[in-house]
Amino acid sequence: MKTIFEIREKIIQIYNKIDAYLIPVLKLVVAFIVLHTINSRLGFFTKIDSVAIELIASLLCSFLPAGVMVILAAAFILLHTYSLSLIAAVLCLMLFLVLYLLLLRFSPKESIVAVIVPVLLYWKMPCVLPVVLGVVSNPGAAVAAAVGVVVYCFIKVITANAVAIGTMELGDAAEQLKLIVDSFLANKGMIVLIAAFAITIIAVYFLRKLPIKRNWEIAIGAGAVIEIIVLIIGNIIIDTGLSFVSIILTAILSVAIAFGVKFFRFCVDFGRTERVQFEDDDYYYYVKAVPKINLGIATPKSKSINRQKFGRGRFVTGNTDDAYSEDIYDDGIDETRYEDEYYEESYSDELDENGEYTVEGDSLENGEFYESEEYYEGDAELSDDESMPDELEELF
Amino acid sequence: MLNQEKVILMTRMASYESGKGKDHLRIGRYFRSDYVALSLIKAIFSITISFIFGVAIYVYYHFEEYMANIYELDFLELGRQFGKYYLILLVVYVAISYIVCMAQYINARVNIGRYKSSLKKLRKINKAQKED
Repeated sequence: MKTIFEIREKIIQIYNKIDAYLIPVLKLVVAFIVLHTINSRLGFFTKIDSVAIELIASLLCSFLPAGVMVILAAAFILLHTYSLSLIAAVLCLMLFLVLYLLLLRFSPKESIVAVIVPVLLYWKMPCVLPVVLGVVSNPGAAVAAAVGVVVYCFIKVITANAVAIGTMELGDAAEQLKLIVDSFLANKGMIVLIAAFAITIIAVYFLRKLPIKRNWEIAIGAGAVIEIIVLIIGNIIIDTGLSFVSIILTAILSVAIAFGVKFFRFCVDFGRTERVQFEDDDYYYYVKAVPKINLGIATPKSKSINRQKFGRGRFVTGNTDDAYSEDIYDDGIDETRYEDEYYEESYSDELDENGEYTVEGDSLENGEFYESEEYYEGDAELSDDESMPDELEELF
Repeated sequence: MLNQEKVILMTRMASYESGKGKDHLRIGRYFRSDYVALSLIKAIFSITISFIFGVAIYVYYHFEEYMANIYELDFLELGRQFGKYYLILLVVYVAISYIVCMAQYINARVNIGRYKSSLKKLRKINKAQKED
């Protein structure tokens, strides 16, 4: 466990050093994947269907706000549908406007979700995002995810009927509209996907807010199970086009990602190093605020054992103040396991002449004991050849 | 000389101003009734535009039927039907918008309250500094 914490601290240190470059690079990669997926799936407008255009657009997205990616993705879809048919483009524009006016304006910060969801659905990875969104976001993300599902279904209708739409003349506009609207409304799988995503995000969000122990683990696990159940039942009733294997595998993947996110969240709180500027009467301040790291990486220097009558000894290494701070405990670190490892490593299982367990200091490197009692009254089992001292026997 | 407490306080406040505080301070400029009214006007505008799009698609979808029966069509009844659906959608959407904007307003006011108390603290520190 200690090694994992050390790795985490190292990752956070590296992250704090390179975050100024890492975020734009990540945005560039996400934007490129999104735009490339749109081009590869639609690809009717050949002038923008090139890697160079995708890269230029992605570069723009890398240093501009996330909303620009949404606008560019919408523009790419519109240009492709316009190239296929005017009616399809008009319908697409109407759909985007309605989705923005009715839904997305409530959660503009989560609008990026509406772009990522269709991409994941194209890759047959439906369950990856909802559980993670429940962990890092708020119920507003459910609205953005629903918008993403609707956009995915619309694009699917356009690509499925591209040949029929493309061969129709402009005079057959009513026929084109009927074809698109009928295909879109016939796609009942859309409702199943929206329901599964929304229920999962909201369930994970509220479960992780519950004032119970292990709320995060319960929320992530329950979220994945809820998502699988809703999608499988929905898939049985209405064909969503998703296989059971992909549902279960991506749900497992989402649980792994969600635990990873949770593991790092409490150290960096996703709030990277901040650079702020302000001034008072005397100074201009250019401040770089670096998130505090909770656990020291250095080798353990001190150990303390708190006496607990007939209970297990508490044994802490490293920065004891931090290790027992409220924050860390509340943040879900498994304190008991962390302590027990050291307990097992460092305690002698031999009773001394007084019938007390002695602590062996061999494992300490440059360490010293402080605030400790150098014996342990524990609930460890006695071997056959060891007898319990009389005074202890009375107490039992 | 630099005052550590002041720098920490100002850093936190600057961080808030450039993050979530942007939205909160924007919302906090309004009275509650003004903010709610403005949000509801936006909601009415949004639902009206969306409904017009919906009606346009519906009419275009049934265009041939309407053209074939143009003389038998009861426009008044058709208008009534559309009006009924519009009102239902309007009431539902405005109610949802009201709940959302109230929640946003309350959240913003709570956070602005904390921000103001930080401002007061900063003022005290500045005053103490000047007196020294």
